[in-house]
Amino acid sequence: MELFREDGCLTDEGLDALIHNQLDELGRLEAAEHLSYCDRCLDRYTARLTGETLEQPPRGMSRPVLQTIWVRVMQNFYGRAAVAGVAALLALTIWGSGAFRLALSRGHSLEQTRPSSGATPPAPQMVEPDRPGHLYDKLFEAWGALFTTDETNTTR
Amino acid sequence: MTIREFSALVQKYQGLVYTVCHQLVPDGEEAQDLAQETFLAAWRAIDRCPAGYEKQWLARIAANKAKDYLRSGWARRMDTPGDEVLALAGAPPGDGPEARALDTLGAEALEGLILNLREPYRTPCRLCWLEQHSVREAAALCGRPEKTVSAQLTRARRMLQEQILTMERGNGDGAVSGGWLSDRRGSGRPDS
Repeated sequence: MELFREDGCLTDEGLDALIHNQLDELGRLEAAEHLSYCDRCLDRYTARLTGETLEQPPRGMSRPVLQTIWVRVMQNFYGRAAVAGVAALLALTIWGSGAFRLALSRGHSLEQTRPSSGATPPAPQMVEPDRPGHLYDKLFEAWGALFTTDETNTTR
Repeated sequence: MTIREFSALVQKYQGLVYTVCHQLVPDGEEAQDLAQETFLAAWRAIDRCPAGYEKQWLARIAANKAKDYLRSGWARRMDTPGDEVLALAGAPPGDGPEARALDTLGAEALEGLILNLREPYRTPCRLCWLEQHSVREAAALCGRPEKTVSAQLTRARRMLQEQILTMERGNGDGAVSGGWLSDRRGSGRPDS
């Protein structure tokens, strides 16, 4: 029996053999490969799957499929919620430590201490951090001190 | 598509999908699993389903699932031959197995073996090995996916290898014996 015609499509007897489980493993693999891309043969094949040739699955498929879909939807939802929660927690922790405010205040103070052209530079105004004794504040102060001018240092 | 609509689709086509899977993969449990995977894949790509062609679309996904299953099973059982076989007319000269195969059989005989392959192997083999097209070009020329052409070339190599081995065995200690295929056969070589 020829499974394929000369033009590369499945023969009628090949399709019949597939439907009646008469193909060996290689034949089934070749048929599956062909059906996965050939529209014409897929149409011919599905047109034959009627009446007696159409089997019913031993177990209903609707319920397990929908359960799996539901589980995946929930996993997706909770996964995203968990990521969002961790991100929010991290943001709140950093915010609570005062790092944001300190960083902003350092930026502001550096802007003010930049020497202006011409007139007498205004006296630098250091914005005191809200929590000066905090470890982060001290670190930022030490880091900022490296970049301040001598003039600034003397005024302090 | 809502879950409810999709559920109706599953109800309507579960028989068809299971039948396709079961006819391609005779094991009932595997077929059931493949049918479920088909519907899950369909749910993920439901936006791409052409309206009015749900039957063909689901059958195509089922055939793809069965193909992947069969192909992985086939690949597990077969030790895939390397590139040791059969670059034919136009092959660069050298000491490689291809050159030895050409020396042993002759280009014409080898070409004849390729042209005598059955479909679906003959066309991609002719395009790639005799007409020197790349796999991508051959896939475009014969309207098949590139991966399918690659898999068909691999299986065709094995078929040709077996044919040449059979010829060699048939010749006994004749001209073909002692060639590169004999070296590869190792302990499987019949005593002579």
